[in-house]
Amino acid sequence: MSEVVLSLNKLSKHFGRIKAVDELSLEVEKGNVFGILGPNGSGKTTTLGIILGVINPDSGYFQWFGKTPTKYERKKVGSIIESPIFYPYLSAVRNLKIIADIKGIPYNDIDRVLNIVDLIERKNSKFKTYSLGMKQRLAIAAALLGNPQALIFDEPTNGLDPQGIAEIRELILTVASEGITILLASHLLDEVQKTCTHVAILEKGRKLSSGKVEDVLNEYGTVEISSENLEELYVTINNCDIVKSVVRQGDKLSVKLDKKASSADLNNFLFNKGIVLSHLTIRKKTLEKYFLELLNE
Amino acid sequence: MINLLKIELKKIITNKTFWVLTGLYVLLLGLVFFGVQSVINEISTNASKTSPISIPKVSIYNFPDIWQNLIYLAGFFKIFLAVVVIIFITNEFSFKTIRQNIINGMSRFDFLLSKLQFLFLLSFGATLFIIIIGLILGFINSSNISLTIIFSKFVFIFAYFLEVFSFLTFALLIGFLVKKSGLAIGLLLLYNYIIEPIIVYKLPDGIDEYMPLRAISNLIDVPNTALMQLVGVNFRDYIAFTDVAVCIGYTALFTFLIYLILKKRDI
Repeated sequence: MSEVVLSLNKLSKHFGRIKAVDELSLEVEKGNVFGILGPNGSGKTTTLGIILGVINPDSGYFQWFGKTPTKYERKKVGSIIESPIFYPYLSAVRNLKIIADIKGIPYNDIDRVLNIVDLIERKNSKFKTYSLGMKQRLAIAAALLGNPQALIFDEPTNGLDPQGIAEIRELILTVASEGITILLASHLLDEVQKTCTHVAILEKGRKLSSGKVEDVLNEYGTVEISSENLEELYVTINNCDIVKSVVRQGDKLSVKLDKKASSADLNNFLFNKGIVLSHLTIRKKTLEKYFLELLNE
Repeated sequence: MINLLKIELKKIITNKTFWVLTGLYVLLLGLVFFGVQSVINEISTNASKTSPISIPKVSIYNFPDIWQNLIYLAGFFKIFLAVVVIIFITNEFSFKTIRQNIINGMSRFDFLLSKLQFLFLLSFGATLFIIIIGLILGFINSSNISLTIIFSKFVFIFAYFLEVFSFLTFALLIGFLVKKSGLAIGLLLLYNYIIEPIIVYKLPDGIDEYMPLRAISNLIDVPNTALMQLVGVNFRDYIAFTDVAVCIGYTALFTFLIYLILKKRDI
């Protein structure tokens, strides 16, 4: 049994008549890259606000590192929320010094994190003179200060250009490879798929589904295949027990797989039957569509 | 504790608004302190011309009365410091840095403590300013100088510190309540100059003195100059214990209310 970093137990929060978070329970284990996937207004940011101590839940409770949370647990968590928040009239270094003071971290860590995000040259410039990209990088530096045990990202690639998006995703993967637990809220299926090991899908504050990314997403995934002899493929595949349904689409077959199976299993099965595929893709668009359908239910 | 003060100092030390406003306060109050004597002289000379009896020359810079005189005047300017407080607390809301401070690992109570320390520092600075100016003007103008005389009414200095600190916690409360600087400053001015005076006017004597801002300014009464005595009015030239108690009570109440707001509210 692996160590639980964060657990949520039937957390609820309403704003007026709207239930932002509705009896949400989750468990994030050490080393997970845990995605919270849901459209805007599904309660992702509220959930993060609760576990970061700025929103009071109406009912339910949560624990960080197996303890009832206090400020001491928050000091071990770095977070990057939608827009970077700093004192605009202070320089990057002064802003980071305030954070270091709050977290009880020595100042010599500041240059290290500024180097990581490549802001060392501009470290004495005021925050308000920074471009959006620089502000976002400073937020990352702040989150990395003092080697946190867990990192929280809320829509980390919002408003970034493709290069920035790629950089952030690479950073998440790098940090994750160091064994730091990551919690990532996003409305982009693609982003969760590319970076996360685990996912929980939220809708209107409720958890629709959760588990390992491949398990959860396979539930809704389709694989597109074709081969030289489509007829033979069609017949063979209908006798495969990991296949749930097959739809013919032009010269390709759109195959829905069983929850536990992967596209590799399918390929293996067909290979053993002597069929070589000329084409195999996991239909991300379709996944996205399934995700949207799921949310429309 | 020291750590929280360190954080608070980092927030203000390079802030231009802070230095401009406190600089203006020092300049303005300094001018008033140095200039008020000549204004009083002017008035009494003019009055002597038309008055049948001769009006005595009043010096407000004599030890030990200088303390009450200066402090009474300074009381009118504490609103300046209150504006500084409101700007700084509402900044935390408009920049959302209060949220970030707590996310980073401050408790809500820590945040309140850090702001109280800021108020303490500001009140301490204002008090120190009075002491320095008082000593300078007193030494220049008093004929009778001895340590006993200089410090005989020093209790006014402590009362002044309490007056400013109480008033600033009230400003802090308004800042926490409305969160927007313009609105908060407007509300403070409105309450200070219009709403409370009206309430005080409507309330029967004896009760009206317990309205918060009135109680805070009541700590230090109008100075008893020879001029006033001549008119036959006699003001309090000491600090009343009940006033101090009421003032401390209000400060505790304001602080508690801020704590409740911080605790209950989503930030």
